[in-house]
Amino acid sequence: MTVHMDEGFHRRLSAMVESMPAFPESVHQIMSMTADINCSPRDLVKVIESDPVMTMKILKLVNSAFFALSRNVASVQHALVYLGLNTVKNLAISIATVDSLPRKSIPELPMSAFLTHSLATATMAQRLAKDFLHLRDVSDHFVAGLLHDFGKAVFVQFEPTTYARVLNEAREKQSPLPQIEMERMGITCAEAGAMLAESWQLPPTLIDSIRTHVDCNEDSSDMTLTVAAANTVVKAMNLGDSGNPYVGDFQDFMRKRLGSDLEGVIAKTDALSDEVHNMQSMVQ
Amino acid sequence: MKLRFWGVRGSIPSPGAKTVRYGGNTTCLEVWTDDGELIILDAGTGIFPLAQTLLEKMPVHAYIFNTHSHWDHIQGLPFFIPLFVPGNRVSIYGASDPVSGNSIEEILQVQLQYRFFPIRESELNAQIEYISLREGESVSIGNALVTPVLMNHPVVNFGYRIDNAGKSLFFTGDHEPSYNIYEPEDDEYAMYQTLIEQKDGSILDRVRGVDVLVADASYTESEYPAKKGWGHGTFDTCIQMAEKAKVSQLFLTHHEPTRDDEALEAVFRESLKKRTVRGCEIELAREGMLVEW
Repeated sequence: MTVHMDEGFHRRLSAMVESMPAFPESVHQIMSMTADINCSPRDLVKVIESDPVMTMKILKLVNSAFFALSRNVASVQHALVYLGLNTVKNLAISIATVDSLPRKSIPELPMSAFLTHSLATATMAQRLAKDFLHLRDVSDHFVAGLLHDFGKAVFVQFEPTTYARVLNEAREKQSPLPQIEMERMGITCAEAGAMLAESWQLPPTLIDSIRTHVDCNEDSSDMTLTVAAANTVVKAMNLGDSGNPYVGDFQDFMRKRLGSDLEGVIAKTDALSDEVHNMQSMVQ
Repeated sequence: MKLRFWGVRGSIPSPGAKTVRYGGNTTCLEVWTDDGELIILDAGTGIFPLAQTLLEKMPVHAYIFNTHSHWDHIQGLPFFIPLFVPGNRVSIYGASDPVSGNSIEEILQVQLQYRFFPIRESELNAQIEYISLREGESVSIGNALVTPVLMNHPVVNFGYRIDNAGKSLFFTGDHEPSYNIYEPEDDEYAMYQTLIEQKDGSILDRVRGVDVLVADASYTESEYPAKKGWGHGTFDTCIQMAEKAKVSQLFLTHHEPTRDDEALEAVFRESLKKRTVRGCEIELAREGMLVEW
């Protein structure tokens, strides 16, 4: 079966995401935290930004034409400063309690392994931005890492049978997943995620990193670079599962821009798996 | 431009002998532009006495701008008499609610329900229109330009800047300056501080140079720590905003409902003692007060 990338598909995909379930533990955490009038804003941010579905839905709302905030809200913290704590808190509650579809799960890409991969890539992208590129504001790199594979979660939820076949084929052939996605579905998860992010008017740099992290090159933005490199590091460290059997290595330009090779980054990566485990325990 | 205060009290009407000088009605400001358009900022209980003065001017076209949907800013709306009289036009502007997705229409609809009010929306005889605003997008009212600016409150709150014939006014609605949710030793502290500075900067840019600023000064500095996060400013934060934005005249409003006239004047005097910069006239907003410039 080939999914055609027509306008109807795009609309259906976008509408389906509305009913996508947030992760169960983050829903539970949001409900119990917000029952306390003095709930800590820091803790609230932590839970929201550990859940790709909740983060995506909040960024979608804040950046939508509804607000016209010049489409540049790239992190949960940024949303908090713009909309205020109580509004973000109530958005999270409404996302947590909205009638969502039951979560689909396929053994080819269990959501727990997907979440580990997303959180590890988010944490790693932020660390690369801070410690290797020496950038000041790195929270949007976390978000870019968290959402880089959002298209996969959408495929698993809405095209589980087709996507299971695609994942199996990539595994059997040991081929890069985007190639099989193109052959069998006519669209990569990166493109699907980017299209959704685009229709929700997320910041252009975030859309670009979702779309092009699979094809990072020397002209790529810092954000695309940190996400692509983090993706490789996390796969090499065997943290979670992205469904893509192809691990790869840093390319020359990556080594040059980061000032380190893959082994060098891994050697400096202390306690990544503990940090990811802590975050994961909050949402799942 | 003419500005008259009809309600300067925060949260809940507070009538009585001890608040009679400054007044007990909740937020409502009447603005007449130089080309004769009527702009009403918020529809707290102060809109009822304002409505009485409009009876002789009918038919009227009132442009009501709602800063936010909290009760003390909408409660007088069903008592805005021109709504009931054919020939009047009432245009209601404000923000949509991001959580429910509901438009500004809800601020009237929700009040005109059988159980809470005897008249239904369909029984109102004026021509009514609702316009949901987007932050930063100005609307023209005659020759005046009204610009909504996203402030900080527990619900979406638009401050409004009105520019008309070279004169200008900014009303904050309810506003608490954003504060850092992280501790200085946290990794995220500096990043969050940068976001706050950007937001404060964009608000200051909109307030900059206005002739008149009307700002939410609910609390004193000593009261504030217990009220942090409630969405209101202090005497000091309002004065600082006015000074930074080089405003000519500042009116402090949203008086705390338990503060009587004497206490209000006392805390105001105290806050003035701390001023370091001069150049801006500061007064407490008072019900009935007319400002013309």
